Amino acid sequence: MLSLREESIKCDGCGRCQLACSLGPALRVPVNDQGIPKLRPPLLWFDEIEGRRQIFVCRHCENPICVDACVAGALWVDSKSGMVRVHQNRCIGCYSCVMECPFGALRIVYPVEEPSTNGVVHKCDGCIGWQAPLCAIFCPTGALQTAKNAAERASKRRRERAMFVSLTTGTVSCAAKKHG
Amino acid sequence: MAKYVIIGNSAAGLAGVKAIRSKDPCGEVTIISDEKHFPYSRVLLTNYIAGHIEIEDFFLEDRDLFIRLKVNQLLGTRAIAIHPLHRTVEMETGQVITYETLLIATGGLPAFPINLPAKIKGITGLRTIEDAINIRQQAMAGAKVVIWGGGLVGVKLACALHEAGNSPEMIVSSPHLLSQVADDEGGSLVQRHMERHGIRIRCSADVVRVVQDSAGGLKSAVLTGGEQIPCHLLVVCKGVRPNTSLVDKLLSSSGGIPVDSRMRTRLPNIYAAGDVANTYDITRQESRLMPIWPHAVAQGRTAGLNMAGEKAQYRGSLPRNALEILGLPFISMGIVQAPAQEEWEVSIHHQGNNYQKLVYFKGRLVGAVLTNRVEPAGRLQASIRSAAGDWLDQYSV
Ligand SMILES: Cc1cc2nc3c(=O)[nH]c(=O)nc-3n(C[C@H](O)[C@H](O)[C@H](O)COP(=O)(O)OP(=O)(O)OC[C@H]3O[C@@H](n4cnc5c(N)ncnc54)[C@H](O)[C@@H]3O)c2cc1C
Ligand code: SF4
Ligand code: SF4
Repeated sequence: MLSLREESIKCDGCGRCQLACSLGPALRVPVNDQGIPKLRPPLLWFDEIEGRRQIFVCRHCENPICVDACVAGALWVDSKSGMVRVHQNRCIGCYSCVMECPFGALRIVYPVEEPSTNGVVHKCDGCIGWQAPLCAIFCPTGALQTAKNAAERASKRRRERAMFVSLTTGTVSCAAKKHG
Repeated sequence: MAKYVIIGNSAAGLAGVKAIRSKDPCGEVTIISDEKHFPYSRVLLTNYIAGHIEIEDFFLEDRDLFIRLKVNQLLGTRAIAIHPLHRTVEMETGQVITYETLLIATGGLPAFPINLPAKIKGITGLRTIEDAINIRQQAMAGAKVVIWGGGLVGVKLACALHEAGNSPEMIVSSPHLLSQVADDEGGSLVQRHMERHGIRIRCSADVVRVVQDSAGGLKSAVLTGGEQIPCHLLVVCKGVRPNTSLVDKLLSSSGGIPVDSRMRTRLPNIYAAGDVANTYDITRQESRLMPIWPHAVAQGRTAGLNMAGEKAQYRGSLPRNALEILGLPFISMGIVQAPAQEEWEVSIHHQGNNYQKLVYFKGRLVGAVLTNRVEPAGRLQASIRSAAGDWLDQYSV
C-alpha cells in the first residue's frame, strides 16, 4: 500500500491535491440521473505560516501519537494497510488528537448545515482501494509523492510490534511464537 | 513462563497489557480491577451526561479483546496488599496472586476537601460510570446541581449539564476558571464564553459546609460569606489524588508513585503508570502528577514493553489539556504563566475569541494557550518538546 512522501518546499500552494481529495469517493459512485454526487470536505489543509501557504497532511506514522491520545477509541491503525484511520462515529470532537499531531494533520470539522452540532475529526484516509493517494497523483510540482508507508519501511520486527498494539482482530498464538 | 500482573483496567493498564502481548505472546497475563466493567474511557463520562453518547459508547475495545489476547481477568474485585518480598498480590477475596513483574495502574480518585462530612447523600465526585449515571439521572429529574471546582472536570460537567437542559451553578475558589491549566486571560475568556451561554459561575468563593433536610438529603451549600445556595446534588470537582493506597506502607512518597524513565518504581519488579505515577515534566523539569489520558497510555505502553524485556524510554510528560467548551476549542500546554523575570518572554495575539499566548524561557518555547483557532497546537507541542531536549539541567523554578 502506497502512502505519501512530502517535500513541502516544492509546494506552491496550488490546491489541486485538495480538489483530488474531495473528489475521491465521488469518483467511485456511478453518476446517474441524480446528477453529480456531493463532494466531501478535503482531508488535507493549507494554512498561511510566515507568509507562505503550507500544506498539512498525515504521514501515517509508524508510532502514531494521535492514536495514543484518542480518548474515545476513534483513531486506529489498520494493520492490513498500515494506515492510521478514524471511526468517525466514535469521535466526540474533543481536540485531544489535534493537540498531538506535529504535522497538523487532523482537523475537527463541523457540519455546514448544522454548525452548532458536535464536530468530528477529519484526517487523510490513505486512499485505501486506490493504487496510490490521489493527491500525489495530481500534484504537479512533486511536493506530494507516493512512497512506501511507514509500516512498510519499518523492519519486520518493529512493524509487528506497532501493528499488534492496535490489533483489531486475531488471537494470540503462543505455540507459533509469532503474531501479526 | 513470565507472569505479569496488572492492577487497574483503564488507560494505563490496557496499554500495558497490549504492549506486553506485543512482545510476549506466551507469558501469563492477569489484569485486576475493582470496577466490574470492561475497559472504558472516563473522559467520555461528561459526553454521556450531556446526552451525546450512550453507555455502550464508553467501551474502548471489542468485548473479546482479553480472550483473544489470552489475558486472565479478575474484574470487580479489589487488590488489598502487595508483598514485594514474596512477589504476591493479595485480593480482598483472600486469593493470592504471584507475579514476576507487576504494573500498578490504579489511577486517581476525586480529591475531597476535609471539611465535607463523608457519605452524605447528594455529595459526589465524578470518576466512574456509576457516578455519571447517578448525576445524569438526578439532572434529568430536575435536581439543582452545584459544581464545586473550576478545573477541567468541573468545566466539562457544567457544559454537559447545560447541554442536557439542566442549569448548574459553579463555585470556584480561584478568581477565574481553569486556574491550574490556563493563564488569567485564557481562563477568563473561557469563563465569559460559558457565562454568555447562561452558566452561573461564582469565583473567589468556597463551600464551607452543607445543610441537610430532615430526610437526610442535601438542602444547600453554605459559602464562605455565609450565603446559602440551595442544591440537591453537590459534585466535588477539586482535582484528583493518586490512588496509592497499595504502596503507602512500602514507599515513603507523598503524592504519586515516583518512577524513572522506564516506569520502574523503587520496589523491585514493580512498575507504575498513569494517574498514580509521578513522572518528569519536561517544561518544569521536576517530577510531578500530570493526570491526563495521553500520559496514561504512553506510560502504560512504556511500562508494558519494559516488563516484557524491552528497553523502552518514556518521552517525558508535558502537561496539556484540550477541551471543547460549548463550541469553543481550548488547548493549553506547558508553562502558561510567565514569572515577571528577565529571562521570560510572552507573546499574545487576541482578537475576539481567537486567543494565542506563547511563553518563552531563555528564548525557547515552554508553554502555549490557544482558543478558537487551535490548529497550531500540535506543531507548538513539537517545538516545546524539541526545545526541552538540550537544556534539561539549566532550569529551576
Ligand atoms: C470526567 C473526567 C473527564 C476527563 N477528561 C479528560 C480529558 O478531556 N482529557 C484527558 O487527557 N484526560 C481526561 N481525564 C483524565 C483521564 O480520564 C485519566 O487521566 C485516565 O483515566 C487515567 O487512566 P489510568 O489508567 O491511569 O487510571 P484510571 O482511569 O483512574 O483507572 C484506574 C483503575 O484501577 C482500578 N483500581 C484502583 N485501585 C485498585 C485496587 N486496589 N484493586 C483493583 N483495582 C483498582 C480503578 O477502579 C480503576 O478502574 C478525565 C477524567 C474524568 C474523571
Ligand atoms: S495524524 Fe499526525 S500523528 Fe497521526 S499518524 Fe498522521 S501524521 Fe502521524
Ligand atoms: S477528536 Fe475524535 S479522534 Fe480526536 S482524540 Fe477526540 S475523540 Fe479521538
